[in-house]
Amino acid sequence: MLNPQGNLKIVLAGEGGQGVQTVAEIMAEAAFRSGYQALYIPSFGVEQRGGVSLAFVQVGRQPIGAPVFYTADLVGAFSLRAVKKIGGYLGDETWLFYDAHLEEEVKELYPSLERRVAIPALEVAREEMHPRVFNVVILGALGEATGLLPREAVTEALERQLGHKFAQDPSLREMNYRALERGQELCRLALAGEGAAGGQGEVRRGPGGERGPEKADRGRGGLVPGSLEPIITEDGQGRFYLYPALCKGCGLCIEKCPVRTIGWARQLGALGTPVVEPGHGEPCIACRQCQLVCPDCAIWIERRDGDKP
Amino acid sequence: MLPARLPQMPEVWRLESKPHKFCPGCGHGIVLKCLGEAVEELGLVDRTVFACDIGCSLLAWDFFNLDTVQTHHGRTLPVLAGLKRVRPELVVVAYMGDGGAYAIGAQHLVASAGRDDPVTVIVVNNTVYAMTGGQMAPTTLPEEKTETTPYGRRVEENGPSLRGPELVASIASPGAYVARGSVARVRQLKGFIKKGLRAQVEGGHLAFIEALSTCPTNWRTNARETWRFLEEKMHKHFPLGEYAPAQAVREEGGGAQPPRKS
Repeated sequence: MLNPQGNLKIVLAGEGGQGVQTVAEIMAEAAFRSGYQALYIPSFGVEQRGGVSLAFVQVGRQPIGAPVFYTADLVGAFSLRAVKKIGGYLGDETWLFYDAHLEEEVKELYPSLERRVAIPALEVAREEMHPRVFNVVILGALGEATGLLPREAVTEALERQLGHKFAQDPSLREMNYRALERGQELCRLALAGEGAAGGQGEVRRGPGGERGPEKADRGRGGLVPGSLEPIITEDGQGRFYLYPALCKGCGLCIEKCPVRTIGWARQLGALGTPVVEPGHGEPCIACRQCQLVCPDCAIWIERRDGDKP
Repeated sequence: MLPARLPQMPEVWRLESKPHKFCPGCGHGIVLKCLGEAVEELGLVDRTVFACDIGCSLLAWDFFNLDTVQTHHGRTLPVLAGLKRVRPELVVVAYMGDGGAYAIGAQHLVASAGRDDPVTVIVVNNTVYAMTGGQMAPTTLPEEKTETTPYGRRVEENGPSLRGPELVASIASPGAYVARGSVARVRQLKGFIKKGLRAQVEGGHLAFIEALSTCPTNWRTNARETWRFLEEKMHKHFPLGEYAPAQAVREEGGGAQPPRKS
């Protein structure tokens, strides 16, 4: 579908930690291995994680002169702040890919943009696999959208980038490959539904997709009253209060829990990564180790018998 | 349904700036939680001035509902020493990383320790220059891989890793408080920070607390490996505990003091 003059220019934007840099690097690697000229350069603020993170990728037959450009052929934006930030890279011919939960915001911000495609990557990753493979779904979709990258090259680049993690846990390989395939499918579906590119990118819901996006999914828009609502789970002797607006999904509490009751949840937190929940091991003994080591004060434990520790 | 509850964070934490700017799994949040609780429990909120240095520690510039100053490269200490001389009723806390305190700003630390400035110094040691991308710091462990030591730190080339509390204890005056805690021992660390604040407020002495901390982003570790690196490697290399100032030891033992000129 994408057949611009010269090289293909791609901008990817998301929250730091969402994985857009990894996606960009894999795309550039796959292009390079397929015999194209390819260049990738990241751009983010002083915070290594937690800000909006931009990635510039160029792929094509022409030698690449400069790493940064002003108008992109393909833009991917995967959080609210990212959608707001990429406005300057949009031209009349630009395709905008975004996660389906951002539909309203994209319509509102760029009403005249014709070529926009919603990919329900977050929902598919969360419902079918694990929220963490969100970026690999995106990778599949964007790789497909370029029309340049052979799937084997993308798979090979994915292996080079994440192989060391797969070696530690082989089940991850299967999940990531599946995420890649689902992304490719979602892209084909979305583009088929696009027809004459009427801008109504309405192929949104994958199978089983009735749930609307939760508030915390919408990126970090500052703490408004109400977004500090905890998720309260009772488990064993404890009542587990988890504040998704604060939880960054570091997992320190999971490893510190002596009864290993804490595990990953499907709900996403402050940085678009999964939060934690109890109920994955022995019942909670309300020792408060998790509360103690949480660097973000996102956990609070109340004893169900009401006793102070 | 139970009523919505606000997160249980120290009141002195500034809610508007949360979630804070540190990476997921960063130990700064734990150290600052200990500091916040310590300041509250000692009833010092109204007169505490917080100062952060350059590096990741400066991301705490809007962390507290406290008067805050940010300086560069270890100058946090002389700035606070000056502030304390002008306004001795204030409680001043210098919050630095190992890069700012031990490498770039080491002379300020040495001078302050020698003068016994009544300042509470908290140095967060994560063994790397984290904000700039994880380069080797003075505290990098032998054989530890960083951006600038891809094959591991070689002691014969780069020297052994620097131990801050031992350094400060060797030059600090009697009455100074020196300790090393860890974010894996939260209650102990908070106790050290409280003692450190008391040393300044009640004794008018320097207090130096090093907090061993985590940097999953630059260590490139998941949660399990993060704790393992901290608790197995760092705790072994940097012993936790309180360090008596060597000057005090020498005085008690008599001798060893240089003869005074009359």
